[in-house]
Amino acid sequence: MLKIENLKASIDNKEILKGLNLEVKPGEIHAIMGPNGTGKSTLANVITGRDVYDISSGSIQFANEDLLELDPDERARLGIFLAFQYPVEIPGVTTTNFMKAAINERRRHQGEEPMKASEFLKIMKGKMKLVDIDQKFMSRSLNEGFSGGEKKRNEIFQMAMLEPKLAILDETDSGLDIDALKIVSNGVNQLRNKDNAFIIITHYQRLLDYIVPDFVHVMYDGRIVKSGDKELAKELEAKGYDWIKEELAV
Amino acid sequence: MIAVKNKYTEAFEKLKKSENSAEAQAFRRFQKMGIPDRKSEVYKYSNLKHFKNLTPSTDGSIPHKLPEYFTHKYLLDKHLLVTVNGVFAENLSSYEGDEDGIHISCMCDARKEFRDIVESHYNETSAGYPDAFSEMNTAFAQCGIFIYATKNAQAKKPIVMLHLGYNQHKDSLICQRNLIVLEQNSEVEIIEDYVNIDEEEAFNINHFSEYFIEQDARLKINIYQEDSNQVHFIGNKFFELGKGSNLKVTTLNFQGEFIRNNFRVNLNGEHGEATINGIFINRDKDHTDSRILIKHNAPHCESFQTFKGILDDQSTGVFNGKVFVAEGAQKTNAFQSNKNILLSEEATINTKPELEIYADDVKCSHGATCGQLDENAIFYAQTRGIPREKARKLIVFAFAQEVVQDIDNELFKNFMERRLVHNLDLADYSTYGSVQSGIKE
Repeated sequence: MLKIENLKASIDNKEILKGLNLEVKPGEIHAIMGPNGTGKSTLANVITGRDVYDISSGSIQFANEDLLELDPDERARLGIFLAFQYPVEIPGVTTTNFMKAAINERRRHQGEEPMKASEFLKIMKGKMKLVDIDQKFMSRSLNEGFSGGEKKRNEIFQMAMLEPKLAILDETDSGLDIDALKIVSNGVNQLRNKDNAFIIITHYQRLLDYIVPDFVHVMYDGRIVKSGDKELAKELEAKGYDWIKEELAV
Repeated sequence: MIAVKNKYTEAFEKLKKSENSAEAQAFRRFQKMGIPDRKSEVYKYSNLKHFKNLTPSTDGSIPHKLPEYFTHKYLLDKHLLVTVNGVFAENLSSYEGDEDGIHISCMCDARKEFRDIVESHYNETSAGYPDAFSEMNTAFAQCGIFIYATKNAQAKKPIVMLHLGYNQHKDSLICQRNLIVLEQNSEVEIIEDYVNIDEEEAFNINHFSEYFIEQDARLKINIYQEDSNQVHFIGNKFFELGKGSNLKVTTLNFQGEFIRNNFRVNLNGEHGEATINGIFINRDKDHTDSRILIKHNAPHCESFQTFKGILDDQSTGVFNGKVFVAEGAQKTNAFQSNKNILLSEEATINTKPELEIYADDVKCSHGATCGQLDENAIFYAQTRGIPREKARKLIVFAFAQEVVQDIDNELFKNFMERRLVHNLDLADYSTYGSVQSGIKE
């Protein structure tokens, strides 16, 4: 599904990703952990197509397409979704209209008619339940005045609406209390199936108690330096990252 | 100062007004002031050279029939008042002249039928505010619209004013003058629409309206001007508000070569409230200049200004909003916001929010922003599958809609949303295709 090979990316002449490799297959959940400033969010941004990065080498293949040749919206329509670490507020655009635009844009590119209003509402109601979002958020400006938790739930709601093949959750757990964390995790678990995949970027093992990953990768200095199963996350939680650094130094 | 002997003098002599008439006095004051030049602080960013050599139109010819489009433009139940080149066109209008305690007529008739009302109000808002264009207007005023709502009168339907330019010579200037008086506890809603019938011809306007909103009276005005090529518009709207009265103005300017709006509000009694909102969209070399002065002359009044500008190409814009709080106007609450989006590197906005406060127990806030579109927001929308160009438009539309959404008249609001969609090239955007409207396009 997703294959990243020897990816190098820099911003303002500073190299952030220094030859990263990662393969994700349908049905898998990959957790990416690591200290601050090691390039985790950069990886999410590069996969989704933020254009502030220079890609000096490497490739990203997704569904047999060369992702690096595509605009962010083209990537999204192929089925890639990013749940933002800091969701953006868009004054005046309601969540409902934003989702309507997103869904109908995809349909338009597939040569389909816009979704009927009644059908849209029905789907929306179902997905709202999934993340326990109140109706009133739908008619409010996107993320404007939302609390941190509400914003994150809104990201998962949007993910549920768009049903991506590959969803990247960029520190979705940061700033969430335990109840919100359960709601978000529950949403992910219900959406999970054998055809889609998740990349979960997180600092903490806590989230992985609820969303159980198939693989855990440790990112350090622009590369994935260690991979394992969920036990690796527990080890990291217990021992911190220093032992990884020491291992690397040897 | 630019000398204005030439054509203005010639035109005024033709009117044969007596030496001591109000018109002659106003003309002499106008002559003394002249058309303001760029040294004038209030017109610093708006070049008025165009107005130097115009001839005020004294010709009152009116077409026999209104073009089909306009008869049906506003499907809502209304009083339709049409002016042509500043002159009230009774034959094109359809209204009840005396319904629900609301009297509607041309200014000339009003001077006879409601002499006391006219005399005690006409030109009263000018006193103490020397302004070349309002003086010029008083000197050359055409027979405009008079609306008089008597005590407790409630207009059941809105009054739509269609201000048409028709067969104007490119060097002629329309001086339209209206007087609107709302007595105690009356309520009126007005929609004003400025249109040049001959799109190829010039449309030069010096528009001056005076509004008196007495105790507990309520007035709503929605002003709409769109796509008037070659329009050169100076609009003075002066308001006097009594105790407990309420005024709400929304002005929407979609593409006009030169637009200058002056709003001046005097809050003269306690618990008065004034809202002046506006949005403009400029393209090419359009220029829109909004100047607002809200004076809190009494305690416990509230005022709100929300103005937004969207500027593309080489267009320019000016915002100068001022809140003045007089000594003793305690417990004033005044809010002012001006936000602008520049869509091109060559577009310019000059914004100057001002506060002048002489009372110590007041709540005033003001702020201005200008900037390009938020790249984070565009990227965010793109990650949901919305193409970049559409994402930009979606964000601009939302930016503008904040002003439109605040319009109380649902039908007019929907109409304005559709005009926004049109003016922002969003027509193919299915999301907005289902808006119901009672107004034809």
